Amino acid sequence: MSEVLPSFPKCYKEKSWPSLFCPGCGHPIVLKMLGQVIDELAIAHKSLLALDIGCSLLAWDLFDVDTIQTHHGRTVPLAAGFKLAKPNGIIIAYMGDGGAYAIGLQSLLTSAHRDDKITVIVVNNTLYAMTGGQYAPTTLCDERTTTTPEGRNCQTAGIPFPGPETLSAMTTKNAYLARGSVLQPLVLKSYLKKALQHQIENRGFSFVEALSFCPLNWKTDAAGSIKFLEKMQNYFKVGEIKCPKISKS
Amino acid sequence: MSENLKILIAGEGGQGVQTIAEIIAKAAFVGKLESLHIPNFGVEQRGGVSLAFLQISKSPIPYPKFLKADILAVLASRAVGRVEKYVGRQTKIINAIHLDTLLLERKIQTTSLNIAVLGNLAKFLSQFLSIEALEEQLHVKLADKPNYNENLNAFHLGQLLTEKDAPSHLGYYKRYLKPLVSQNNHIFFARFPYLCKGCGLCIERCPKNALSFSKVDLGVYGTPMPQVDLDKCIGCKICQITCPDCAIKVVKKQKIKKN
Ligand SMILES: Cc1ncc(C[n+]2csc(CCOP(=O)(O)OP(=O)(O)O)c2C)c(N)n1
Ligand code: SF4
Ligand code: SF4
Ligand code: SF4
Ligand SMILES: [Mg+2]
Repeated sequence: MSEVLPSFPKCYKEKSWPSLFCPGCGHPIVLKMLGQVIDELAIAHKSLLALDIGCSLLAWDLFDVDTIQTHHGRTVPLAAGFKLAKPNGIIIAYMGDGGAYAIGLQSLLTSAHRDDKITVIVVNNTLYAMTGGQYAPTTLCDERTTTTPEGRNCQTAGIPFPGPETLSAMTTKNAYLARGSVLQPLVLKSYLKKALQHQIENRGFSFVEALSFCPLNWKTDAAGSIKFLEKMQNYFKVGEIKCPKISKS
Repeated sequence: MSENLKILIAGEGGQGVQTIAEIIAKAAFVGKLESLHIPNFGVEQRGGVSLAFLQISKSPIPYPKFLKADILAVLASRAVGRVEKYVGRQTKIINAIHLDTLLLERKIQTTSLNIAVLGNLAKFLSQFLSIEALEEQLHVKLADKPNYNENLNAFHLGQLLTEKDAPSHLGYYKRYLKPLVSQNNHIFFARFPYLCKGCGLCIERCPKNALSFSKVDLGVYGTPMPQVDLDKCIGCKICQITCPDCAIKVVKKQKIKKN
Protein backbone atom coordinates (compact mmCIF):
# COMPACT_ATOMS: atom_id res chain seq x y z
CA MET A 1 0.00 0.00 0.00
CA SER A 2 1.75 3.17 -1.13
CA GLU A 3 -0.43 6.03 -0.03
CA VAL A 4 -3.15 5.63 2.58
CA LEU A 5 -6.00 8.06 2.02
CA PRO A 6 -9.28 8.41 3.91
CA SER A 7 -12.19 6.44 2.45
CA PHE A 8 -14.01 9.54 1.21
CA PRO A 9 -16.65 9.15 -1.48
CA LYS A 10 -15.16 10.25 -4.81
CA CYS A 11 -17.62 13.13 -5.10
CA TYR A 12 -16.39 14.64 -1.82
CA LYS A 13 -14.27 17.75 -1.93
CA GLU A 14 -11.45 16.45 0.28
CA LYS A 15 -10.18 19.93 1.01
CA SER A 16 -13.39 20.81 2.87
CA TRP A 17 -13.09 18.00 5.42
CA PRO A 18 -13.33 17.70 8.38
CA SER A 19 -16.81 19.20 8.12
CA LEU A 20 -18.23 21.99 10.27
CA PHE A 21 -20.81 19.67 11.86
CA CYS A 22 -20.50 19.10 15.61
CA PRO A 23 -18.65 15.99 16.82
CA GLY A 24 -21.02 13.03 16.64
CA CYS A 25 -23.57 14.77 14.40
CA GLY A 26 -25.65 12.47 12.19
CA HIS A 27 -25.76 14.80 9.17
CA PRO A 28 -22.32 13.78 7.85
CA ILE A 29 -23.25 10.09 8.18
CA VAL A 30 -26.24 10.72 5.91
CA LEU A 31 -24.03 12.75 3.56
CA LYS A 32 -21.41 10.01 3.39
CA MET A 33 -24.06 7.48 2.35
CA LEU A 34 -25.43 9.98 -0.16
CA GLY A 35 -21.90 10.54 -1.52
CA GLN A 36 -21.36 6.80 -1.98
CA VAL A 37 -24.67 6.54 -3.85
CA ILE A 38 -23.79 9.50 -6.10
CA ASP A 39 -20.51 7.70 -6.90
CA GLU A 40 -22.14 4.35 -7.56
CA LEU A 41 -24.78 5.85 -9.84
CA ALA A 42 -22.14 8.08 -11.51
CA ILE A 43 -24.37 11.16 -11.40
CA ALA A 44 -22.05 13.76 -9.81
CA HIS A 45 -21.69 15.67 -13.09
CA LYS A 46 -25.43 16.11 -13.65
CA SER A 47 -26.63 16.49 -10.06
CA LEU A 48 -27.63 19.60 -8.19
CA LEU A 49 -27.58 19.44 -4.41
CA ALA A 50 -30.11 21.90 -2.97
CA LEU A 51 -29.56 22.72 0.70
CA ASP A 52 -32.16 24.09 3.06
CA ILE A 53 -31.50 26.54 5.88
CA GLY A 54 -30.62 24.74 9.08
CA CYS A 55 -27.62 22.54 9.81
CA SER A 56 -28.14 21.13 6.29
CA LEU A 57 -26.40 24.20 4.97
CA LEU A 58 -23.18 23.11 6.68
CA ALA A 59 -22.97 20.66 3.75
CA TRP A 60 -22.10 23.65 1.59
CA ASP A 61 -18.86 22.97 -0.30
CA LEU A 62 -18.41 19.46 1.11
CA PHE A 63 -19.17 17.93 -2.30
CA ASP A 64 -17.64 18.47 -5.67
CA VAL A 65 -21.18 18.66 -7.01
CA ASP A 66 -23.13 21.75 -8.07
CA THR A 67 -24.81 23.10 -4.95
CA ILE A 68 -27.50 25.70 -4.35
CA GLN A 69 -29.14 27.14 -1.27
CA THR A 70 -32.46 28.83 -0.81
CA HIS A 71 -34.84 30.17 1.84
CA HIS A 72 -35.83 28.07 4.82
CA GLY A 73 -38.36 25.43 3.77
CA ARG A 74 -38.32 26.43 0.08
CA THR A 75 -35.86 23.83 -1.12
CA VAL A 76 -38.61 21.56 -2.48
CA PRO A 77 -40.22 24.11 -4.86
CA LEU A 78 -36.72 25.11 -5.96
CA ALA A 79 -36.05 21.45 -6.74
CA ALA A 80 -39.33 21.16 -8.65
CA GLY A 81 -38.41 24.25 -10.68
CA PHE A 82 -34.98 22.87 -11.49
CA LYS A 83 -36.56 19.66 -12.74
CA LEU A 84 -38.95 21.56 -15.00
CA ALA A 85 -36.05 23.48 -16.51
CA LYS A 86 -33.70 20.50 -16.72
CA PRO A 87 -35.61 17.21 -16.88
CA ASN A 88 -32.42 15.17 -17.35
CA GLY A 89 -30.66 16.75 -14.38
CA ILE A 90 -30.75 15.05 -10.98
CA ILE A 91 -31.99 17.18 -8.11
CA ILE A 92 -31.46 16.33 -4.46
CA ALA A 93 -33.32 18.50 -1.93
CA TYR A 94 -31.55 18.09 1.42
CA MET A 95 -33.35 19.55 4.43
CA GLY A 96 -34.07 19.29 8.15
CA ASP A 97 -37.31 18.21 9.81
CA GLY A 98 -38.11 21.82 10.73
CA GLY A 99 -37.66 22.99 7.16
CA ALA A 100 -39.63 20.10 5.68
CA TYR A 101 -42.46 19.61 8.19
CA ALA A 102 -42.97 23.10 9.64
CA ILE A 103 -42.23 26.15 7.50
CA GLY A 104 -41.95 24.16 4.25
CA LEU A 105 -44.74 21.64 4.76
CA GLN A 106 -47.14 23.14 2.27
CA SER A 107 -44.45 23.10 -0.43
CA LEU A 108 -43.53 19.51 0.37
CA LEU A 109 -47.14 18.30 0.31
CA THR A 110 -47.88 20.06 -2.96
CA SER A 111 -44.80 18.67 -4.65
CA ALA A 112 -45.48 15.13 -3.46
CA HIS A 113 -49.12 15.47 -4.53
CA ARG A 114 -48.03 16.63 -8.00
CA ASP A 115 -45.66 13.65 -8.19
CA ASP A 116 -42.68 15.84 -9.07
CA LYS A 117 -39.80 13.66 -10.22
CA ILE A 118 -37.42 14.91 -7.53
CA THR A 119 -35.63 13.37 -4.54
CA VAL A 120 -36.15 14.85 -1.09
CA ILE A 121 -33.98 13.85 1.88
CA VAL A 122 -35.17 14.98 5.31
CA VAL A 123 -32.78 14.70 8.24
CA ASN A 124 -34.98 14.24 11.32
CA ASN A 125 -33.29 15.13 14.60
CA THR A 126 -36.58 16.04 16.37
CA LEU A 127 -35.78 19.73 16.70
CA TYR A 128 -34.55 22.99 15.19
CA ALA A 129 -30.88 22.24 15.63
CA MET A 130 -29.19 25.22 14.07
CA THR A 131 -31.14 27.84 16.01
CA GLY A 132 -30.57 26.30 19.43
CA GLY A 133 -32.75 23.23 19.76
CA GLN A 134 -36.32 24.56 19.71
CA TYR A 135 -39.22 22.13 19.48
CA ALA A 136 -40.25 20.96 16.00
CA PRO A 137 -43.29 19.05 14.70
CA THR A 138 -41.16 15.89 15.12
CA THR A 139 -40.27 16.42 18.79
CA LEU A 140 -41.11 13.22 20.72
CA CYS A 141 -43.77 13.23 23.44
CA ASP A 142 -42.19 14.39 26.71
CA GLU A 143 -38.94 15.32 24.95
CA ARG A 144 -37.32 18.37 26.53
CA THR A 145 -36.23 21.11 24.14
CA THR A 146 -35.38 24.75 24.79
CA THR A 147 -39.02 25.70 24.09
CA THR A 148 -40.58 22.67 25.81
CA PRO A 149 -38.63 22.71 29.05
CA GLU A 150 -41.21 20.44 30.73
CA GLY A 151 -41.20 18.06 27.77
CA ARG A 152 -43.54 18.13 24.77
CA ASN A 153 -47.12 17.74 25.90
CA CYS A 154 -48.70 15.60 23.20
CA GLN A 155 -52.18 16.24 24.67
CA THR A 156 -51.94 19.88 23.71
CA ALA A 157 -49.26 19.91 20.99
CA GLY A 158 -50.30 16.90 18.90
CA ILE A 159 -48.27 13.84 18.05
CA PRO A 160 -44.76 13.83 16.56
CA PHE A 161 -45.25 14.43 12.86
CA PRO A 162 -45.03 11.27 10.73
CA GLY A 163 -43.51 12.60 7.48
CA PRO A 164 -43.41 9.73 4.98
CA GLU A 165 -46.65 8.23 6.38
CA THR A 166 -48.41 11.54 5.72
CA LEU A 167 -47.04 11.70 2.20
CA SER A 168 -48.13 8.11 1.64
CA ALA A 169 -51.80 9.09 1.84
CA MET A 170 -51.53 11.74 -0.83
CA THR A 171 -49.12 10.32 -3.39
CA THR A 172 -49.84 7.99 -6.29
CA LYS A 173 -48.52 4.46 -6.41
CA ASN A 174 -45.51 5.85 -8.28
CA ALA A 175 -43.94 7.49 -5.25
CA TYR A 176 -41.00 6.02 -3.34
CA LEU A 177 -41.13 6.77 0.40
CA ALA A 178 -38.77 5.42 3.05
CA ARG A 179 -37.39 6.10 6.48
CA GLY A 180 -33.85 5.12 7.42
CA SER A 181 -31.59 5.82 10.37
CA VAL A 182 -27.93 6.68 10.90
CA LEU A 183 -27.82 3.70 13.27
CA GLN A 184 -28.04 1.48 10.16
CA PRO A 185 -26.09 3.53 7.61
CA LEU A 186 -25.97 0.84 4.94
CA VAL A 187 -29.74 0.30 5.04
CA LEU A 188 -30.19 4.06 4.81
CA LYS A 189 -27.82 4.00 1.84
CA SER A 190 -29.92 1.38 0.07
CA TYR A 191 -32.99 3.64 0.45
CA LEU A 192 -31.10 6.67 -0.86
CA LYS A 193 -29.95 4.63 -3.82
CA LYS A 194 -33.47 3.46 -4.62
CA ALA A 195 -34.78 7.00 -4.30
CA LEU A 196 -32.22 8.38 -6.72
CA GLN A 197 -32.71 5.49 -9.15
CA HIS A 198 -36.40 6.34 -8.98
CA GLN A 199 -35.62 9.85 -10.13
CA ILE A 200 -33.08 8.76 -12.77
CA GLU A 201 -35.72 6.49 -14.32
CA ASN A 202 -38.30 9.26 -14.04
CA ARG A 203 -40.72 7.04 -12.12
CA GLY A 204 -42.08 9.54 -9.63
CA PHE A 205 -41.61 11.49 -6.42
CA SER A 206 -38.97 10.02 -4.12
CA PHE A 207 -38.47 10.74 -0.46
CA VAL A 208 -36.19 9.45 2.32
CA GLU A 209 -36.35 10.55 5.92
CA ALA A 210 -33.17 9.86 7.91
CA LEU A 211 -33.38 9.67 11.70
CA SER A 212 -30.24 11.43 12.86
CA PHE A 213 -28.18 12.42 15.92
CA CYS A 214 -27.99 15.95 17.28
CA PRO A 215 -25.70 15.52 20.30
CA LEU A 216 -25.32 19.27 20.76
CA ASN A 217 -28.99 19.97 21.41
CA TRP A 218 -29.83 16.58 22.88
CA LYS A 219 -26.91 17.15 25.25
CA THR A 220 -25.80 13.56 24.81
CA ASP A 221 -22.51 11.70 24.58
CA ALA A 222 -22.11 8.90 22.02
CA ALA A 223 -23.91 6.32 24.15
CA GLY A 224 -26.68 8.80 24.96
CA SER A 225 -27.14 9.71 21.29
CA ILE A 226 -27.51 6.07 20.31
CA LYS A 227 -30.00 5.50 23.15
CA PHE A 228 -32.09 8.49 22.10
CA LEU A 229 -32.08 7.43 18.46
CA GLU A 230 -33.31 3.97 19.51
CA LYS A 231 -36.13 5.72 21.31
CA MET A 232 -36.92 7.67 18.16
CA GLN A 233 -36.98 4.41 16.21
CA ASN A 234 -39.65 3.06 18.57
CA TYR A 235 -41.95 5.80 17.37
CA PHE A 236 -40.71 6.57 13.85
CA LYS A 237 -40.67 3.16 12.22
CA VAL A 238 -37.74 2.53 9.93
CA GLY A 239 -38.45 0.90 6.56
CA GLU A 240 -39.92 1.44 3.12
CA ILE A 241 -43.34 3.04 3.38
CA LYS A 242 -44.09 3.00 -0.33
CA CYS A 243 -41.99 1.11 -2.81
CA PRO A 244 -43.50 0.68 -6.28
CA LYS A 245 -42.92 -2.67 -7.92
CA ILE A 246 -40.71 -2.24 -10.93
CA SER A 247 -41.90 -4.29 -13.85
CA LYS A 248 -38.93 -5.64 -15.74
CA SER A 249 -39.82 -5.17 -19.36
CA MET B 1 -13.01 19.20 -23.20
CA SER B 2 -15.89 21.63 -23.48
CA GLU B 3 -16.50 24.45 -25.94
CA ASN B 4 -15.59 26.89 -23.22
CA LEU B 5 -12.22 26.57 -21.50
CA LYS B 6 -11.86 28.16 -18.06
CA ILE B 7 -8.29 28.86 -17.04
CA LEU B 8 -7.04 30.23 -13.73
CA ILE B 9 -3.44 31.38 -13.38
CA ALA B 10 -2.23 32.23 -9.89
CA GLY B 11 1.01 33.61 -8.53
CA GLU B 12 2.68 36.57 -6.87
CA GLY B 13 2.44 40.10 -8.18
CA GLY B 14 5.49 40.69 -10.39
CA GLN B 15 5.68 37.10 -11.64
CA GLY B 16 3.96 37.94 -14.91
CA VAL B 17 0.70 36.09 -14.28
CA GLN B 18 -1.31 38.75 -16.11
CA THR B 19 1.24 38.87 -18.94
CA ILE B 20 0.73 35.25 -19.95
CA ALA B 21 -3.03 35.58 -19.48
CA GLU B 22 -2.99 38.54 -21.89
CA ILE B 23 -0.94 36.58 -24.41
CA ILE B 24 -3.45 33.71 -24.39
CA ALA B 25 -6.44 36.05 -24.51
CA LYS B 26 -4.95 38.01 -27.40
CA ALA B 27 -4.04 34.86 -29.35
CA ALA B 28 -7.61 33.61 -28.90
CA PHE B 29 -9.04 36.96 -30.00
CA VAL B 30 -6.85 37.08 -33.09
CA GLY B 31 -7.86 33.47 -33.79
CA LYS B 32 -11.53 34.61 -33.88
CA LEU B 33 -12.40 32.87 -30.62
CA GLU B 34 -14.31 34.51 -27.81
CA SER B 35 -11.92 35.43 -25.02
CA LEU B 36 -12.22 37.07 -21.65
CA HIS B 37 -9.48 37.94 -19.17
CA ILE B 38 -10.22 39.29 -15.70
CA PRO B 39 -7.17 40.24 -13.63
CA ASN B 40 -7.55 40.11 -9.87
CA PHE B 41 -4.91 41.49 -7.51
CA GLY B 42 -4.65 43.65 -4.43
CA VAL B 43 -3.19 47.11 -3.93
CA GLU B 44 0.35 45.76 -3.80
CA GLN B 45 2.51 46.29 -6.89
CA ARG B 46 4.59 43.33 -5.88
CA GLY B 47 4.33 40.54 -3.34
CA GLY B 48 0.54 40.25 -3.22
CA VAL B 49 -1.35 37.35 -4.74
CA SER B 50 -2.18 37.92 -8.39
CA LEU B 51 -4.89 35.89 -10.12
CA ALA B 52 -5.90 35.83 -13.78
CA PHE B 53 -9.34 34.46 -14.63
CA LEU B 54 -9.37 33.57 -18.27
CA GLN B 55 -11.97 32.05 -20.55
CA ILE B 56 -11.59 31.15 -24.20
CA SER B 57 -14.50 29.76 -26.09
CA LYS B 58 -15.88 28.77 -29.48
CA SER B 59 -19.27 30.19 -28.51
CA PRO B 60 -20.25 33.36 -26.63
CA ILE B 61 -19.14 33.39 -22.99
CA PRO B 62 -22.29 33.69 -20.88
CA TYR B 63 -20.79 34.86 -17.59
CA PRO B 64 -17.43 36.30 -16.57
CA LYS B 65 -17.11 34.38 -13.31
CA PHE B 66 -16.65 30.65 -12.94
CA LEU B 67 -16.82 28.25 -10.00
CA LYS B 68 -14.37 25.60 -11.15
CA ALA B 69 -11.41 25.91 -13.48
CA ASP B 70 -10.68 23.46 -16.28
CA ILE B 71 -7.00 24.33 -15.97
CA LEU B 72 -5.27 25.81 -12.95
CA ALA B 73 -1.64 26.95 -13.09
CA VAL B 74 -0.04 27.92 -9.78
CA LEU B 75 3.28 29.78 -9.74
CA ALA B 76 3.69 30.61 -6.05
CA SER B 77 2.83 28.74 -2.86
CA ARG B 78 1.24 31.84 -1.33
CA ALA B 79 -1.47 31.74 -4.01
CA VAL B 80 -2.56 28.16 -3.21
CA GLY B 81 -4.97 29.10 -0.44
CA ARG B 82 -6.74 31.55 -2.74
CA VAL B 83 -7.37 29.11 -5.58
CA GLU B 84 -8.08 25.77 -3.95
CA LYS B 85 -11.81 26.40 -4.11
CA TYR B 86 -11.65 26.57 -7.90
CA VAL B 87 -10.35 23.01 -8.09
CA GLY B 88 -13.02 20.60 -9.23
CA ARG B 89 -13.15 17.02 -10.37
CA GLN B 90 -12.15 17.93 -13.92
CA THR B 91 -9.50 20.51 -13.08
CA LYS B 92 -6.11 19.90 -14.66
CA ILE B 93 -3.50 21.34 -12.30
CA ILE B 94 -0.10 22.66 -13.31
CA ASN B 95 1.88 23.14 -10.12
CA ALA B 96 4.87 25.26 -11.13
CA ILE B 97 5.82 26.37 -7.62
CA HIS B 98 9.17 24.59 -7.65
CA LEU B 99 9.96 25.11 -11.29
CA ASP B 100 12.56 27.81 -10.57
CA THR B 101 15.30 25.28 -9.72
CA LEU B 102 14.78 23.48 -13.01
CA LEU B 103 14.99 26.78 -14.90
CA LEU B 104 18.21 27.77 -13.14
CA GLU B 105 19.71 24.36 -14.02
CA ARG B 106 19.00 25.20 -17.66
CA LYS B 107 20.57 28.65 -17.18
CA ILE B 108 17.23 30.41 -17.55
CA GLN B 109 16.47 33.19 -15.08
CA THR B 110 13.44 32.67 -12.88
CA THR B 111 11.93 35.85 -14.32
CA SER B 112 10.94 33.60 -17.26
CA LEU B 113 9.02 31.16 -15.05
CA ASN B 114 5.71 32.54 -16.27
CA ILE B 115 6.69 31.90 -19.89
CA ALA B 116 7.65 28.31 -19.07
CA VAL B 117 4.14 27.95 -17.62
CA LEU B 118 2.73 29.46 -20.81
CA GLY B 119 4.63 26.82 -22.79
CA ASN B 120 3.18 24.09 -20.59
CA LEU B 121 -0.33 25.56 -20.83
CA ALA B 122 -0.01 25.51 -24.63
CA LYS B 123 -0.26 21.71 -24.55
CA PHE B 124 -3.73 21.92 -23.03
CA LEU B 125 -4.95 24.66 -25.35
CA SER B 126 -4.24 22.76 -28.56
CA GLN B 127 -7.96 22.32 -29.35
CA PHE B 128 -8.27 26.10 -29.40
CA LEU B 129 -4.85 27.56 -30.17
CA SER B 130 -1.74 26.43 -32.00
CA ILE B 131 1.75 26.77 -30.54
CA GLU B 132 2.52 29.16 -33.41
CA ALA B 133 -0.40 31.45 -32.54
CA LEU B 134 0.84 31.72 -28.97
CA GLU B 135 4.43 32.24 -30.04
CA GLU B 136 3.29 35.01 -32.35
CA GLN B 137 1.64 36.89 -29.48
CA LEU B 138 4.65 36.19 -27.27
CA HIS B 139 6.66 37.96 -29.92
CA VAL B 140 4.25 40.91 -30.13
CA LYS B 141 4.29 41.32 -26.37
CA LEU B 142 7.92 40.67 -25.45
CA ALA B 143 10.19 40.85 -28.52
CA ASP B 144 11.57 44.24 -27.51
CA LYS B 145 12.57 43.02 -24.04
CA PRO B 146 16.29 42.25 -23.49
CA ASN B 147 15.61 38.69 -22.24
CA TYR B 148 13.41 37.68 -25.19
CA ASN B 149 15.61 34.75 -26.21
CA GLU B 150 15.63 33.47 -22.68
CA ASN B 151 11.83 33.71 -22.68
CA LEU B 152 11.69 31.75 -25.94
CA ASN B 153 13.85 29.04 -24.36
CA ALA B 154 11.53 28.99 -21.35
CA PHE B 155 8.51 28.71 -23.69
CA HIS B 156 10.01 25.67 -25.42
CA LEU B 157 11.13 24.13 -22.14
CA GLY B 158 7.60 24.55 -20.80
CA GLN B 159 6.24 22.38 -23.60
CA LEU B 160 8.52 19.54 -22.51
CA LEU B 161 7.67 19.63 -18.81
CA THR B 162 6.41 16.40 -17.28
CA GLU B 163 4.25 15.52 -14.31
CA LYS B 164 7.42 15.34 -12.23
CA ASP B 165 8.39 18.95 -13.01
CA ALA B 166 4.90 20.40 -12.59
CA PRO B 167 2.77 17.97 -10.57
CA SER B 168 -0.95 17.74 -11.18
CA HIS B 169 -1.79 18.30 -7.50
CA LEU B 170 -1.18 21.06 -5.01
CA GLY B 171 0.17 18.85 -2.29
CA TYR B 172 -2.59 19.66 0.16
CA TYR B 173 -3.49 16.03 0.56
CA LYS B 174 -0.29 15.69 2.47
CA ARG B 175 -1.85 16.47 5.80
CA TYR B 176 -4.08 13.41 5.34
CA LEU B 177 -1.12 11.38 4.27
CA LYS B 178 0.01 10.82 7.80
CA PRO B 179 -2.42 8.27 9.13
CA LEU B 180 -1.64 6.37 12.30
CA VAL B 181 -1.48 2.78 11.14
CA SER B 182 -1.81 -0.41 13.17
CA GLN B 183 -1.80 -3.81 11.51
CA ASN B 184 -1.41 -7.52 12.00
CA ASN B 185 -1.66 -10.42 9.57
CA HIS B 186 -5.39 -10.00 9.09
CA ILE B 187 -6.24 -6.35 9.50
CA PHE B 188 -4.93 -3.01 8.35
CA PHE B 189 -6.31 -0.23 10.55
CA ALA B 190 -5.62 3.44 9.70
CA ARG B 191 -6.74 6.48 11.73
CA PHE B 192 -6.59 10.05 10.44
CA PRO B 193 -6.09 12.45 13.36
CA TYR B 194 -6.85 15.40 11.08
CA LEU B 195 -10.43 14.16 10.64
CA CYS B 196 -11.30 12.75 14.08
CA LYS B 197 -13.49 14.91 16.31
CA GLY B 198 -13.42 12.49 19.24
CA CYS B 199 -17.18 11.86 19.26
CA GLY B 200 -16.80 8.26 20.43
CA LEU B 201 -19.50 6.86 18.11
CA CYS B 202 -17.05 4.30 16.68
CA ILE B 203 -16.22 3.07 20.19
CA GLU B 204 -19.91 2.66 21.04
CA ARG B 205 -20.78 0.90 17.78
CA CYS B 206 -17.89 -1.59 17.72
CA PRO B 207 -19.45 -5.03 18.32
CA LYS B 208 -16.22 -6.46 19.75
CA ASN B 209 -15.25 -3.71 22.18
CA ALA B 210 -12.03 -3.38 20.25
CA LEU B 211 -11.88 0.42 20.43
CA SER B 212 -11.06 2.73 23.33
CA PHE B 213 -9.84 6.30 23.70
CA SER B 214 -6.08 6.58 23.41
CA LYS B 215 -4.12 8.33 26.13
CA VAL B 216 -1.68 9.83 23.62
CA ASP B 217 -3.22 10.32 20.16
CA LEU B 218 -5.27 13.46 19.65
CA GLY B 219 -7.77 14.41 16.95
CA VAL B 220 -8.35 17.68 15.12
CA TYR B 221 -9.91 19.45 18.13
CA GLY B 222 -7.34 18.12 20.59
CA THR B 223 -9.72 15.47 21.91
CA PRO B 224 -8.52 11.90 22.50
CA MET B 225 -8.67 9.62 19.45
CA PRO B 226 -9.86 6.05 19.57
CA GLN B 227 -7.28 3.28 19.25
CA VAL B 228 -7.80 -0.33 18.25
CA ASP B 229 -6.96 -3.57 19.99
CA LEU B 230 -6.14 -5.70 16.97
CA ASP B 231 -6.51 -8.93 18.93
CA LYS B 232 -10.19 -8.15 19.39
CA CYS B 233 -10.90 -6.51 16.01
CA ILE B 234 -12.63 -8.68 13.39
CA GLY B 235 -12.39 -6.15 10.57
CA CYS B 236 -16.17 -5.69 10.26
CA LYS B 237 -15.75 -2.01 9.28
CA ILE B 238 -18.69 -0.85 11.42
CA CYS B 239 -16.45 1.85 12.93
CA GLN B 240 -15.43 3.05 9.45
CA ILE B 241 -19.04 3.14 8.24
CA THR B 242 -20.19 4.95 11.38
CA CYS B 243 -17.50 7.61 11.55
CA PRO B 244 -19.14 10.85 10.35
CA ASP B 245 -15.88 12.37 9.10
CA CYS B 246 -14.14 9.34 7.56
CA ALA B 247 -11.36 9.28 10.18
CA ILE B 248 -11.06 5.47 10.17
CA LYS B 249 -10.16 3.07 7.40
CA VAL B 250 -10.16 -0.68 7.92
CA VAL B 251 -8.93 -3.16 5.33
CA LYS B 252 -9.25 -6.88 5.85
CA LYS B 253 -6.20 -8.52 4.41
CA GLN B 254 -6.68 -11.34 1.93
CA LYS B 255 -6.67 -14.70 3.67
CA ILE B 256 -3.92 -16.91 2.34
CA LYS B 257 -5.55 -20.24 1.56
CA LYS B 258 -3.65 -23.30 2.62
CA ASN B 259 -5.02 -26.39 0.89
C1 LIG C 1 -37.88 32.14 6.90
C2 LIG C 1 -37.01 31.77 8.05
N1 LIG C 1 -37.55 31.53 9.25
C3 LIG C 1 -36.78 31.16 10.28
C4 LIG C 1 -35.42 31.03 10.12
C5 LIG C 1 -34.57 30.64 11.30
N2 LIG C 1 -34.12 29.27 11.21
C6 LIG C 1 -32.89 28.95 10.76
S1 LIG C 1 -32.55 27.30 10.82
C7 LIG C 1 -34.10 26.99 11.48
C8 LIG C 1 -34.56 25.62 11.85
C9 LIG C 1 -33.72 24.49 11.38
O1 LIG C 1 -34.26 23.28 11.82
P1 LIG C 1 -34.31 22.03 10.86
O2 LIG C 1 -34.94 22.39 9.56
O3 LIG C 1 -34.90 20.90 11.61
O4 LIG C 1 -32.76 21.74 10.53
P2 LIG C 1 -31.61 21.24 11.53
O5 LIG C 1 -30.81 22.44 11.88
O6 LIG C 1 -32.27 20.60 12.70
O7 LIG C 1 -30.82 20.23 10.74
C10 LIG C 1 -34.83 28.16 11.63
C11 LIG C 1 -36.18 28.23 12.18
C12 LIG C 1 -34.88 31.29 8.85
N3 LIG C 1 -33.57 31.16 8.60
N4 LIG C 1 -35.68 31.67 7.82
S1 SF4 D 1 -26.38 21.40 16.10
FE1 SF4 D 1 -26.98 19.24 15.96
S2 SF4 D 1 -27.57 18.92 13.80
FE2 SF4 D 1 -26.41 20.85 13.92
S3 SF4 D 1 -24.30 20.28 13.47
FE3 SF4 D 1 -24.51 20.24 15.69
S4 SF4 D 1 -25.07 18.12 16.16
FE4 SF4 D 1 -25.41 18.40 13.98
S1 SF4 E 1 -12.85 8.11 14.64
FE1 SF4 E 1 -14.73 9.06 13.87
S2 SF4 E 1 -16.38 8.08 15.02
FE2 SF4 E 1 -14.46 7.67 16.12
S3 SF4 E 1 -14.26 9.29 17.64
FE3 SF4 E 1 -13.16 9.98 15.81
S4 SF4 E 1 -14.67 11.15 14.65
FE4 SF4 E 1 -15.83 9.96 16.14
S1 SF4 F 1 -13.52 -3.11 12.30
FE1 SF4 F 1 -15.27 -3.80 13.55
S2 SF4 F 1 -14.34 -4.97 15.19
FE2 SF4 F 1 -12.69 -3.77 14.28
S3 SF4 F 1 -12.62 -1.92 15.52
FE3 SF4 F 1 -13.96 -1.48 13.78
S4 SF4 F 1 -16.00 -1.93 14.52
FE4 SF4 F 1 -14.58 -2.88 15.95
MG1 LIG G 1 -33.95 19.40 12.76
